[in-house]
Amino acid sequence: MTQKALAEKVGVTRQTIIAIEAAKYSPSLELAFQIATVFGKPLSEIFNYDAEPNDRSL
Amino acid sequence: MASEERNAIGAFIASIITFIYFGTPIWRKTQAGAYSGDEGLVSWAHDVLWLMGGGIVIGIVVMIAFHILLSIITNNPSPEMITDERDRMIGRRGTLITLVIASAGFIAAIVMLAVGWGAIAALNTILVGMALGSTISEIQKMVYYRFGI
Repeated sequence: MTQKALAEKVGVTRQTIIAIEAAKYSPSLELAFQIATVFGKPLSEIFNYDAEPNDRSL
Repeated sequence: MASEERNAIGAFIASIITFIYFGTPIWRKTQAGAYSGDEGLVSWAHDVLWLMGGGIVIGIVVMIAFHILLSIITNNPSPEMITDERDRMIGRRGTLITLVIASAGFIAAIVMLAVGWGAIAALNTILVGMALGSTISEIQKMVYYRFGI
């Protein structure tokens, strides 16, 4: 799936998807769930969380 | 580039042009003592009203020109105009910075009056606080868009 297609499905800009992938933006819980729903996976398979803030990535 | 990032860059350019074009004469007149007395206050108010009106016009012109230029450079005649949660978060942080700096300018002006500075100096401090707050807010937005939030 392209970044543009994912952005359109969850109602954000492509730049926001790029920023999430690059760990430059932590999405809201709602957006995180929307992204997980698009991929049909649980949240923990799409996102990971480390204690270091900059390690949160898609 | 997100539409709000384009707006932040456009607003930054517009504010720089506005302060050079309208702010410099106010500064020169202040230095020359042209705003002394009650008539000086009226004159200062007229100049600031011109600055505000001119700033709006310059903002609109720069924004249109910048969007056209960007469309030509990126070869994208209809760029995305969506605003999402990231834009809103960056916008809120920008507004916070504007408020903090403008408030600091206001408090500084009150302190200046309390220690005997003139009304024009205090009013200019409030004006500079608001201008700095707005400009730094746009810089902060550009940094957030480029380097993350």
